[in-house]
Amino acid sequence: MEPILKVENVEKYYGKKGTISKAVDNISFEVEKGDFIGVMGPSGSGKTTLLNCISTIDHVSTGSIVINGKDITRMKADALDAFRREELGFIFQDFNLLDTLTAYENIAVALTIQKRKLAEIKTLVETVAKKLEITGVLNKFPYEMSGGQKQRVAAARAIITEPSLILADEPTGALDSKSARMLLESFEKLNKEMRATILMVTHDAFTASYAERILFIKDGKIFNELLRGENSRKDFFNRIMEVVTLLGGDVNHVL
Amino acid sequence: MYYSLSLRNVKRSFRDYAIYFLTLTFAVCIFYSFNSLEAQKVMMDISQSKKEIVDLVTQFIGFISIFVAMILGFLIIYANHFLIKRRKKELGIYRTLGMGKKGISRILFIETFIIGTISLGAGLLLGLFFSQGLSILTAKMFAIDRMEYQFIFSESALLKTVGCFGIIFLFVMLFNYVSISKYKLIDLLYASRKNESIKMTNKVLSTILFFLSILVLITAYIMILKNGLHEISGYFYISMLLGVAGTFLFFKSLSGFAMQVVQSSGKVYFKNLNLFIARQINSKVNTNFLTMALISLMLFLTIGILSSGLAINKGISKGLEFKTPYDATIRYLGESGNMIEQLENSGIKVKDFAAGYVEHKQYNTGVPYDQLLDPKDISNLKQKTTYNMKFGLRNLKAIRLTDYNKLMALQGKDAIVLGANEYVLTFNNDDMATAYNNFIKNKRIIKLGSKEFTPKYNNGIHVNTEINYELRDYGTIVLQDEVVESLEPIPSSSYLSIQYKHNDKEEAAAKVNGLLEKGPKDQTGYALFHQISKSDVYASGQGQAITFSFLGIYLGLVFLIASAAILALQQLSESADSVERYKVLRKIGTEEKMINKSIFIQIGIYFFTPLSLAVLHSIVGLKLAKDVVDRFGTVSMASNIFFAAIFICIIYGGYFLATYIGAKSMIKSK
Repeated sequence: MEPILKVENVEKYYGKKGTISKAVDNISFEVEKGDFIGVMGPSGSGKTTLLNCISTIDHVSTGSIVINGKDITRMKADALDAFRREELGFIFQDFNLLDTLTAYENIAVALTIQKRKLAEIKTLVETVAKKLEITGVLNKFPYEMSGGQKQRVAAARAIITEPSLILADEPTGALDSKSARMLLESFEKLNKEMRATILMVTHDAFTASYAERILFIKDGKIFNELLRGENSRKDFFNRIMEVVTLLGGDVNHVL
Repeated sequence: MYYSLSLRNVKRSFRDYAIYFLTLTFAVCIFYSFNSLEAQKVMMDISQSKKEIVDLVTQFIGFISIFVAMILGFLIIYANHFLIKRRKKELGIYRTLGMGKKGISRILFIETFIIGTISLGAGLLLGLFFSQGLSILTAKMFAIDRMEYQFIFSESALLKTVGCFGIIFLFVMLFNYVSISKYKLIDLLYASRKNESIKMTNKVLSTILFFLSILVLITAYIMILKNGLHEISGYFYISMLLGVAGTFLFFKSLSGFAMQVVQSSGKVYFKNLNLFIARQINSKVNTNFLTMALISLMLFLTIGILSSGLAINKGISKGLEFKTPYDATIRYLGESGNMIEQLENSGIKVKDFAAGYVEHKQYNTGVPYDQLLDPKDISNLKQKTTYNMKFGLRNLKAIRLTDYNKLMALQGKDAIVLGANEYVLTFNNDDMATAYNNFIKNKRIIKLGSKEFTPKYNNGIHVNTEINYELRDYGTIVLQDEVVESLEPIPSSSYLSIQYKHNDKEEAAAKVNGLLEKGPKDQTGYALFHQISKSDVYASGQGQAITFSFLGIYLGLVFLIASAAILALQQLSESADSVERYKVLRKIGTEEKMINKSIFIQIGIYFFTPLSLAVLHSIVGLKLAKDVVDRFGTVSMASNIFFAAIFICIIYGGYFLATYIGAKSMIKSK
């Protein structure tokens, strides 16, 4: 089967001749449909740069990124907008909800910009809200919601368009542990029940332990890869911690 | 160091400064152009009396310029305040790097200086060209055909402009200094982190308020239309008050009401970015409704001033033509006798200066106007008319048919033929038209002594037989010569109407005046013959007309720029606040086109709702203004409204576009 995401020899340089720094240094990996993959690494490891390249917000220097059979490194700006709208779903650390819109409208806007029909919007929003247990807050504004609720609304906005790939950037970064757990459970549910493909960047081992597979990045290169397999989440968490320790003197950063 | 930092700041934040710069340039341009009026006379071949008018207008504009400079000063300080607010964080960073308040003040001082110098230069350059165009308008107002084109430059206007704006910039610097020393570092650094609280508008309340505002506005319209502008009474003030209150209520409730209308149709609301646009506008309404209402009222004032200012000029010019059917009328203030004979006795030969002349006398019919006319018609007359009618003779005057026909011949008009018992009613004050037409229709017959006379025509004739500053003929009857001669002549009402021989009418008039002054005198030494010439009437009327028009255009433009600039700055600052929101929209894949469209619609709504209500107000207002303008002479307002519309389109539209482009690039780049 064709992988959903195929990253091949991607490099990203910053700076000019002579003072080049490689933020991403020859990274390749593949993500299959229905995968829940975590990307871990300390600050400055290049994980956010990699995510920005995959999410079409930034451009690669060399290499190719193929999502759902389309090479996004060769697309024009207009096509990229349409691609983001139709193939990708985003969840950010700081939620990025529109503060002027209600939860319902925040979710719906992902559909209205795709010019979907009203009736379709209604059913889709209600279904996804039920799944993420946010039906009760649909008519509230972001400032009236808790962090966890906001992030689940953001998640609802990301998955409502049924994207090929959901990109989550430190989704639990701004949440307390209880909200974080609820959110991650929703992710698991989406992954298992709806076969949503999720790529999650985090530096938190607990958050990462919900993924099926984890890529460790250090200094722009893939440093290690872990598969959860048949392990329980607790065992997986311990294995992650071992790698994190191995990553070196950056334990403080990692945690 | 400070200088290069300031220069870089100006260059870098040029986008933010664009509106500020535009406003300053426009302001300087208008200020210079109107103050350069005096220099414009050199290119026109104008007479002494017209030169005096120009001086009068110049003086008046100079006086008004003080007021204009104050308005512009406040506007510039307001705009500057907006920019400083935008840059709080930047200033905070300077402070954390160890730059003192003095240093920052110095940077801002140099920046203001740079911006001020550039805009003053640009504005003056633009003003140089604009004043050339203005001189064409001036020439048109003075009805001058011959113009020697010459590039005009007014040193006094230049000095005045530089002086006024120099003072304004000094105030700006002072203001910056004061506000910088007031800010605390923490406020500067965290200026962008303000609490977002979105106030919900109460749905029921805003619906009630919206309909209430419509009701209030309609009441105000009806009241003012019924009352008119003839009398500034309590009614007038109440309707004004209602109009202003209605405008504020309208903008206060509009967004909440519109939100409900849009939301009630999910198809519209959940289409493209419509829901986002609606929420954007709704979220800011509490802070914005006040400015929107104020701007709407200001635009109303602008439209009114621009179009009626021009109309009054046209009206006066048209009225002047009617007031002056000949070159001059000489009035004899003595008891009686033949005017021409008396003039010749004192050595003044009319034939020497007149190509054509007619002498006529007025007679007293002994029929008072208020007995002749229907009381209802009299009560419908303008207050000014009834007031003036009380002075002088209150009876219907009479004139011989022969004299009347000679006068008409002198004016190049057709003679009339009357039967023995027929009459023709004439008047030069057009307010009388309805009253006489009703009289002829209903009563028909005029009785003089034992004789009865019937009308020749079905209506009164609006015609002018004498030159005077005001139209005060409230009714003159034309009858067969022998009938008129049997009546009592009115004392001091012999007139000699003249067309001059000489081509230079003004010179001729002056010459005749000189002769008459040396002519016969009464006991107190006052000349018995008194001339009012065409140029006398024009001189008095045109001064008024031109002053009105220039004032109208000047103030109208200043108000227009002020309103547009305030709106533009507010919208730009709002766009800056919304940058994050657009970032989110872009991240979730919204097309650039859709984002641009949403910016366009938002700014469009902010610019065009106040304008729409202002236009509605103006339609009512101009209906009233027409009555006022009509006092100076009837004129169609359509072309003036068209003219005002062009001004508004260029300036307001220009600001709208500049705001849209500025907001777009702000949202794109960040």
